[in-house]
Amino acid sequence: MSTATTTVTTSDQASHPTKIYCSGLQCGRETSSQMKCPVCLKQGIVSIFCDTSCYENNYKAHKALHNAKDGLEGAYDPFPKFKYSGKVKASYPLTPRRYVPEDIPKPDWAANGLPVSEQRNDRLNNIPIYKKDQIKKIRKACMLGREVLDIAAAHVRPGITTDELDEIVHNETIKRGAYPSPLNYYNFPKSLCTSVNEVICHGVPDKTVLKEGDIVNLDVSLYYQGYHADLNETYYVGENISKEALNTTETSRECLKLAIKMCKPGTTFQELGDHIEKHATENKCSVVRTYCGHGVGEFFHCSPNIPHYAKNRTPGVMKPGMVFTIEPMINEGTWKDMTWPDDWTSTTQDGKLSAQFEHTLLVTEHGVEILTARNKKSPGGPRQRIK
Amino acid sequence: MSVTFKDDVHRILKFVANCNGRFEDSKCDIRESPLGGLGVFAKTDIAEGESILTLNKSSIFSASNSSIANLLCDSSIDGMLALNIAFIYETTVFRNSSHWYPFLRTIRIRDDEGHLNLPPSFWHADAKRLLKGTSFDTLFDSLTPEEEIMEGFEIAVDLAHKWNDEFGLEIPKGFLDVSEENHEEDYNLKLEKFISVAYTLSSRGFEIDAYHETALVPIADLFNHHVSDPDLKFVSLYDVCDKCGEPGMCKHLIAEEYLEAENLDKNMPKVASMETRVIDEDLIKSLENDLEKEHSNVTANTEDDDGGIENPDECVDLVLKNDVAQGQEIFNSYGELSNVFLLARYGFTVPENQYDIVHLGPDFMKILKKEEKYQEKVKWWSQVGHGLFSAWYAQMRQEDEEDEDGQAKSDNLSDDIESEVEEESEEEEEEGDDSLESWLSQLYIDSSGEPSPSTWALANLLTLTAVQWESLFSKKTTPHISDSIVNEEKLPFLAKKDNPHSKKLLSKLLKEKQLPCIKGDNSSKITSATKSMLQNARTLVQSEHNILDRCLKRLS
Repeated sequence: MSTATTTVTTSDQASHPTKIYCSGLQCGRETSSQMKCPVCLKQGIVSIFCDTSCYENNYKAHKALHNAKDGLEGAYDPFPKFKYSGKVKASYPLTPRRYVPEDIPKPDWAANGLPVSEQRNDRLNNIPIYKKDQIKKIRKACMLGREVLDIAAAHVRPGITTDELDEIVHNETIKRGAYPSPLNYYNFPKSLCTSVNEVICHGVPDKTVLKEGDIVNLDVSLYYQGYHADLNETYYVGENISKEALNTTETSRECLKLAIKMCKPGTTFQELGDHIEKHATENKCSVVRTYCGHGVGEFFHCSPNIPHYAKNRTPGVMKPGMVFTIEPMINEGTWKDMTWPDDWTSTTQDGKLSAQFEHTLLVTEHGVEILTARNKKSPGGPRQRIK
Repeated sequence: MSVTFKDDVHRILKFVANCNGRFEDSKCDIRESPLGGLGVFAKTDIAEGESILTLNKSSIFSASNSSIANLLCDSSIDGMLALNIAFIYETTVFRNSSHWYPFLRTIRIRDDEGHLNLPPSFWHADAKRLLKGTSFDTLFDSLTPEEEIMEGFEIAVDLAHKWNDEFGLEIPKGFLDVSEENHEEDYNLKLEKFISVAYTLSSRGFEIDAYHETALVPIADLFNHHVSDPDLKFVSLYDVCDKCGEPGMCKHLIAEEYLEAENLDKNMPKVASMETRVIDEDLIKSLENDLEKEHSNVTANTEDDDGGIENPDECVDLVLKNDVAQGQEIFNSYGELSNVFLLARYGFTVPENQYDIVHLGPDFMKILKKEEKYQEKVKWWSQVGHGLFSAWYAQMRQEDEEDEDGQAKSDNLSDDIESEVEEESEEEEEEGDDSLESWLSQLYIDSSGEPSPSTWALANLLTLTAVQWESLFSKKTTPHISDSIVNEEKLPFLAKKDNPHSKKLLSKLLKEKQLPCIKGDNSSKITSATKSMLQNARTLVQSEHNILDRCLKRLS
């Protein structure tokens, strides 16, 4: 099934093929319909839907692209009645869905949002073991993932919007012949997750402007020649960073590092959380319980399931050839999370900071290889805590 | 019955608390039971319908929840064998790094004298003599070691070595590390330990669902068994996805449904509207209204505390079926099981078990072999008569029940036994050739001392005079008696329970029956028998003696 653009902007039309796809994120089928969204039209955008039922079913997600008032420029909060836990708020409209060239191999959700083969084939206790040639491809995907993340990270500075970072990640990903895995995964609207300050994970890139003293996590995943890579890092915005932000971020970085050190054949997945939580607690931080590390490779998310909190009883033991992520989300205050009405963005319940780091890892004969490892030129990196 | 020491109770309670499980410890007390071992008692009056214990399925120990779940899955090992191997790894290799260990260490494979718990099929020969000739032996052949468990041990040892070779996973010490020197001795020692693990886990396991299969459930396994009046029922949604254990719509079902829908779509392509037009503004207004409502309904969507008990379909429950008064022991039931089953599977017995029977198969065989005159009759009975009679009898019973619905109640019990035994023997027949022939398995006395219909029929048959025997057939052929045509009107005669000749024959049979002696002096010579072996064997044998006595009283 070939897939791609849902929204054909008038200005861009020339550069795109003539095929037209339904703008409903849950449909995405090629269509010969001419039925347009009137709101988009007024903003000079052509969004075509198969029929009214496609429009109805996808209205909530599609609406995020509309300006608050007809034809009005500028950012607005789409959830004015929602009780945000901190200062970070959604800043709409979202930019239209970005185009992925026809010739780039795509996962099945690119069309309609449902990762059907991942859903069908993932068995809870069946942890895939990859062969040498497969590992070669995963390693390549991870290398590309690192390149893309580093390029985006180099642009992190006060004044840039999270949507601009998304655009960079999107373009760098497709430039390398890869598909940005988050795009339309369960209808996620963007190609990157950007999680600012109290946002734990799955922040949706929008018109939010980064400012001095913020921390922002960039979570990059891409699909290259049949395999996914998944990595993220939290970056400091500017130089004036609070001691809380430094402590939370550095603790998170250290938690990932010490968990990776434990990985080798014979280590159980349940052990990791004990060591992560111990280090977090020692630094007066807490560990998020809702989101976990996961198998990655042929599928974006699959077994094993790797909680980061202590005393979990997750099944499974490591074997050479397994590929999975560890991605502890470490909070300054409570470990409890809440979700925005966009059904994606997860934040701390108390509005205090959350930081995260993630690598894709390969279990080897005697230890572990960090497939998404940093290199000397990678932006970011640890900073000294202040008292 | 359950081999849990009192000191372990606080470990188990702590484990359950750590798992966010809910045990009504304000209303229940775990302490020593007059039945032996521990039991659970009501601290206050507790009402019917109350849940005593609620645990999320993530806090029960199943093979699927274990550390080596993925290895077992890779090797396609499931069922009890998977649970046994998982238990051994968790308690030896992973031990202190496993969060199951605080619970699993309380499950002991040795009794308080340090002897391994072994099923009678693996007792030493002299101890087996304690059960020789009982229905445990003659009807269920439960003294013969089960091939399956010995094969299971072989598989476990092979896997342990394979995993060790593949990626250096430690071999469980003392369990699956059979040494090369003095191989035979070490092999047998470890086989015995493996068997005691299997026996112990089989006695404590609960059937959970299609994904977890059998699992160990903390606290739930401390309730004692009651033969007739259990207070509890064990509740667990069995019908879950066997790939992920999710109740209801899991991702596997969603994906299947989607693919089905897509196939339908392919057959019926969507007709796109060719008109050039825009979506109606009124539609957008109504969609806006719907969104508005949705937003006002969702107030601060905060996730509840983790791993909690919010979804009852993801939990197992022990629920009271009736009121329980303060001070009473609260009983569960493992099923309507005779002492043979209880001992073979759970390692305990109950005095005066209403599901016990005495098997007469070998006793009939003895006299049939001895007496030349019975040959023809036995040949006919085993080949034709038994089947014919059973079918006729079942039909008659059915008609009777339809006639007098109310009166049938008291008889149901023996009916149940019969159907149980029948099912059992049918299964056995399917499984192999060496199982007991069904006409022999139907020769028994129920716990009230009443001979089974087949027993009466065979006794009546054997005591027929030559003339009566001839008249049973409308056309008799010799030597192929099985081709004879039976005079069906005569069948009711075989069901009679008052024929003095038959009574005499049965009495003689019972008096000559050799059950093991249960007097203390004899059994104390059996050095390999532990206290609990002796006690269980005594209870089981005593129960059969009592049934014999009751039957003899009826016959006289």
